Formats: sequence, structure tokens, C-alpha cells
Amino acid sequence: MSKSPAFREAIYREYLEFFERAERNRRWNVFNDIPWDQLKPETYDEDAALNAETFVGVEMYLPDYVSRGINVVRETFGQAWFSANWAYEESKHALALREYLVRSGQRTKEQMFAYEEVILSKKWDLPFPTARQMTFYGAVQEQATFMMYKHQLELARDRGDVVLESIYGHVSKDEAAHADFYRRVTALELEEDRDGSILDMAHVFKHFKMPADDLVPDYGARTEVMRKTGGVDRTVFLKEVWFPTLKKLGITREEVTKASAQLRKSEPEAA
Amino acid sequence: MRTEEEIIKLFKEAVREVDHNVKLGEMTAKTELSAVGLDSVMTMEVIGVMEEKLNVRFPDEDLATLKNMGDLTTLIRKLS
Repeated sequence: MSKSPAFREAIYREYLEFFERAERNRRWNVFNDIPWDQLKPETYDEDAALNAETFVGVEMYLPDYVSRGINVVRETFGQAWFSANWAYEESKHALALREYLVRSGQRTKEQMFAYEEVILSKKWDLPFPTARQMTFYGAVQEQATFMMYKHQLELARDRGDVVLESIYGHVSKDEAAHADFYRRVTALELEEDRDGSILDMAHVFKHFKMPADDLVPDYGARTEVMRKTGGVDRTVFLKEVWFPTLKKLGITREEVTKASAQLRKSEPEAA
Repeated sequence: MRTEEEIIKLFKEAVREVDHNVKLGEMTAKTELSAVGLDSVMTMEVIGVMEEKLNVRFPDEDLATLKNMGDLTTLIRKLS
């Protein structure tokens, strides 16, 4: 469905503001802004390395995220250009973590290429078909990813791993900015069609899962390690992702649960 | 103060009200909410029905930490 000129203009303004802040305050350089000369073997931890490797794996589906995701929003300049910028920033996340694993000697180049081959032998597809659903999915998923990186940052800081702490510091700021943009666009969607948007939110919440969770090898075991080392469990997800997202959007949980009930009654399969 | 059995009965009624297809077996304080067969949004719907029946409002931060029926019982007793 094509968007109204007012909606497109509002999204354009949001993107311009997002991009200006990114360009002025948030840009970072994989080569200059990470203290690579401070790698210290005594601060390494295999669980932390596995978590970093898992993040690299998830981020490696970037070609699919970009090709599938950008076409859902290609008719709205602000969203399409955001997708391009998002892809650039996410590409640095995978690169920085991959370089960390290899430069620190916790993984060999050969291991990373073998991992890459396994990862890219599968393809990621859109979890939801519409721009509005994908936007709300982005708001939740980026916030959850931000929480995961933030927990990993704290663990790296506790171990004295300043390199990994620095990487997670940069990538978590990016993720928080992405979540914020998606939330702002969701707020515009709510202004356009509140009831329809909340129905979409209920649908997304019901079917929410992290990207590539069925594609990355041994994802279940990897998630266990992530949880054990301060990942996002149900409590953290509800407390720090779901409820705050609803609050920032000015939506009550009653509105979402009412919409969920409506979906279940009208379309038992789709709900 | 409501007994644990009463709260479990109320929970089961709320689940049936939300989705009568969910099969509920024996439940105790140790029964994990995640094992009941409800997704997270449906769990919130059940909570909404219980809030209505009990005329209370569960704070979001308390809902986030609910793990089993015992936790739910404790929360309801705290608010009643």
C-alpha cells in the first residue's frame, strides 16, 4: 500500500535527523577507534569468544537482510536510505568482531572462513511480509540486540578485555540508534492507522524470534551460553525490551492483548 | 487471602477464556508458566483476564519476573 505524502515527508525528516546525528556524533572506524594494541590473552574467555562468534554468524546474513529488507521499503525514501545506512553500520559490527576473534588468536582465519561457508550455505528470509510489520520487528529486535551487546560489554569490562569492551560499546550505540529510528517510524505508523498498527504489533510479538535463530549452526547451544553469560532471557526481554518499547510508543499492554485476541478470533492461523 | 488452589483455578479459568483449546493438566506452585503452552502475548491476555476478575493491576516489572504459579500466587497475595 503506498504511503501518503505527509507520511513520507515525516519519515524523510526522521531519517535526516537520524543520519545527521550518526554522521556528527556516532561514526566510528574499525581500524582507528578500537584499541587493537591492547589485546591481552589473560582477559580472554571461551564463552565470550563463542558469543562474539555467534554475533558474527547472525550478522553474516547481511546480504539477505539487505536484499530482502530494502525492497519492502524501497518506495519510501527515508526508510530505504535508512536501510542502506543500517547495512553499512551492521557490516562494521561483523567485521570488528571477526577481526577481534582472529587478531586475538581465539579463532584462526581458516576457522572463520569455514564458519562463513556454513553460515552462507543457508539463506535468511523476511519473518514478516509488510513494511509496517518489519518496522515494528526492527524496533523490538534492535532493542533486544542492544541489550545483548550491553550485557556482553559489561562482562568484557569486568574481565578487563578493553578491546572487546570498545567494540561492544560502539556496536551497542549503533543498535540503540537503530531501535530508536524504528520506534519513531512505528510512532508515525500509529498516527496513520493506530488500530491496524497495534494489530501488526500483536502479530509480531506473537511470532517474534531473533534473526537467523534457525540458520546459525548449534544456535540452541549458543543461546544457552549467551543466557548463562548475561543474555536476554524472558525476564530481560519483557522488562527491558517489550514493556519499554510499548511505553515509549504510548501503548498499553491491554491494547496489544486485545488486538491479539481479535487476531486469534478473526484469523486463527494468522494470529 | 486466596489459597494457592483458588489462584490456580482462577488461572485455569482465565486460560480457557483466552483459548479453550489449550489443554491444562495438573498444576502446582512449581508449574512453570512457560510450560502451560501459551505464547508471551497470550500469557499477557490471561494476566489481563485475571486482573479484571481480581480487580487489581499487576505492575509490568513484576510481570516480567513471573516464572511459575508460585510467583503468580505471591504477586496476587501482595496486591490483594
